[in-house]
Amino acid sequence: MNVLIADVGGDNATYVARALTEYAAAKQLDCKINKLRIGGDGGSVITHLRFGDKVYSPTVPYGSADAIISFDILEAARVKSFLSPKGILLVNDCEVQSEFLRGATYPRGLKTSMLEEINGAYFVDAASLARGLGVWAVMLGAFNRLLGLDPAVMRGVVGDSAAAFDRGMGFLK
Amino acid sequence: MKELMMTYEAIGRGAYEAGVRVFSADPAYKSFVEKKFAGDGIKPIWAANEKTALEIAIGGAVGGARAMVCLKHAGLNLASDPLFASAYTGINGGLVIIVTDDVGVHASQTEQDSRFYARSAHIPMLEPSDSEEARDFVKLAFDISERYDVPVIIRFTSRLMASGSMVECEEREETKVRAEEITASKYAMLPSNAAVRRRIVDERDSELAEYVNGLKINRAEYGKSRIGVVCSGIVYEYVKEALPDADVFKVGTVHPLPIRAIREFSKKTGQLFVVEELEPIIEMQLKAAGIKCNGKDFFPLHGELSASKLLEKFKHIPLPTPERLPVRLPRDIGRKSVVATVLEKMGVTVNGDTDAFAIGAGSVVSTLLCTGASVGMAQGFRRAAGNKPNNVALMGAATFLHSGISALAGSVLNDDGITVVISDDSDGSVDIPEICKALGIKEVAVVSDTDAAELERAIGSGLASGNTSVIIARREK
Repeated sequence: MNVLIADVGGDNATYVARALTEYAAAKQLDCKINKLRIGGDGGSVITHLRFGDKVYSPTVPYGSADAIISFDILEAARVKSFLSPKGILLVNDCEVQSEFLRGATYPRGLKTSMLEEINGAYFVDAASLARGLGVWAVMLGAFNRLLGLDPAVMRGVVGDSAAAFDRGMGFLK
Repeated sequence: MKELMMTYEAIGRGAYEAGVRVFSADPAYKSFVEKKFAGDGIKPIWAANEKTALEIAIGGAVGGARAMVCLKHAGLNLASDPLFASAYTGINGGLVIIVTDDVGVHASQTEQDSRFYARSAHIPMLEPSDSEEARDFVKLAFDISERYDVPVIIRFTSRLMASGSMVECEEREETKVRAEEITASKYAMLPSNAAVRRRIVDERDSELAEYVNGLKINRAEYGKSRIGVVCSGIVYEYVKEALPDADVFKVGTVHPLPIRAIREFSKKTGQLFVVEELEPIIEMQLKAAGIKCNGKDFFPLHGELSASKLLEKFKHIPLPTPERLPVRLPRDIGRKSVVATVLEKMGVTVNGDTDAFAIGAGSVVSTLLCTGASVGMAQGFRRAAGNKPNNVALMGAATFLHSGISALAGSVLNDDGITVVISDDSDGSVDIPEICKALGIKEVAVVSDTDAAELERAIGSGLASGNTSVIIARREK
């Protein structure tokens, strides 16, 4: 399983990565992670996470991510070339506003073009579903709904945010 | 029970298991090691700069303890003086030097290949591929270090350091401080002693060159295809990912290379490729040994490799998007301190330092060479301009401590009248104005770093005075 987590700042990515690595450990799978922070607080943070019987490269090759979990629309667009042809692009339907280089503004039309271009693109209003719990847990629930990992183990690693995870699991209803 | 560890955590774990007693680094590494060391009763010694950090570790090792130091490539440059000498003196307790090369220039002023240092300084160098090897290689490095009486470098890259994989922990080995009489003939590198030790270095090189051929971390893995690849470090993981059927020789000791073992491998495989990031160090040595191979005729001298790049070269799968150059944080570039705004308004050339971004002056520096370079650059610049006062040196508190103090002392000796602005973002535990005065600088002004008018007046006064002057912009609490 190859997963890319795209985030702004990196807190949500840290929670998702921790849950998925605990899942891999519980399933006794080999697991590797890469989280080179080019962003720091407020910048892009891209985390590669892979698990399976044997993992070599800690980074996901282009075109081979089974899933991308993005906490921002622009960050999803930034990393979509990592997605495999049958991969799932799961995006928190939100625009995180922060400073951009050389005074650029948030690009328009990204969501529409990604929905047209990618069959497996899903946008989730995670903040509404979170109801005060972690947005990351909602996204992880939606991820699990689409990727079909062992839900009992996943609920276990989500901990206190299980309710948000469940609402994410039900997002396609 | 295996657990996922980031590479730097695994290094810390390896050090703990190896019974390290003395650990040093520059304070930039605080977050790097505290997590693994804090609970284990090993109190790191934080050095003002990397040269001192290495000297602390060498002192610990010569004193008989297992010692470790963590540096990045640029830090090893500064520490290269004690590095070379420590290869001559040898060590007593084991000494392991961790160095991280910033392949891809994610956070540095240069992209350089520290493997040259191993060869040049006659010091063995290991290169692990993942967290488990990081932990394991640290322990092996201590064994080699003590067996051959030599420091051992373990080389990492930014990418590997930012990666994590499963680690199986072992118990800590309780080491004793090794008793050895500290004789001047071995540990005092006067020319007469150094000339004798130099011969011992050569003998040790020969022994090590033979020893590495039998090490398990240098191993051949035969696949089904008729391509042979020699690689090391994280590149090994990319090769296994992209070319699962290739014959692979995994190099664990990048210096000395296991030439005999690689020669045997080359005879059993097909066309031989050396896949390495940055310089053709393995390739050059194989060619010098008469082993035919390809390498830098396929891969660039700069930047990171990846499984995707190997697929592009070997299987002609194109990369989807152009590689993006690293950029600084928008926030960093956007943030402009009052000091920076004043300097920009004054229209002077700013000879900056490596903490320019940290002090909110990233957008106004004209030169940024390396840590501590602001003062020296300003001296030369001022002299080149016929002493016309049109430039200032600008640094923060960390750079001042790192090597700014010695540079300022030199400036005073020359009485060259430069103007230095120190953006004092420290917690105040070091009295920068008093240090400057003690160096003999007569014009030392302390100004609030939010008072633009006063900053401009003080800097203007320094430029006009013709004397060496320091303006300390002190952070408002």
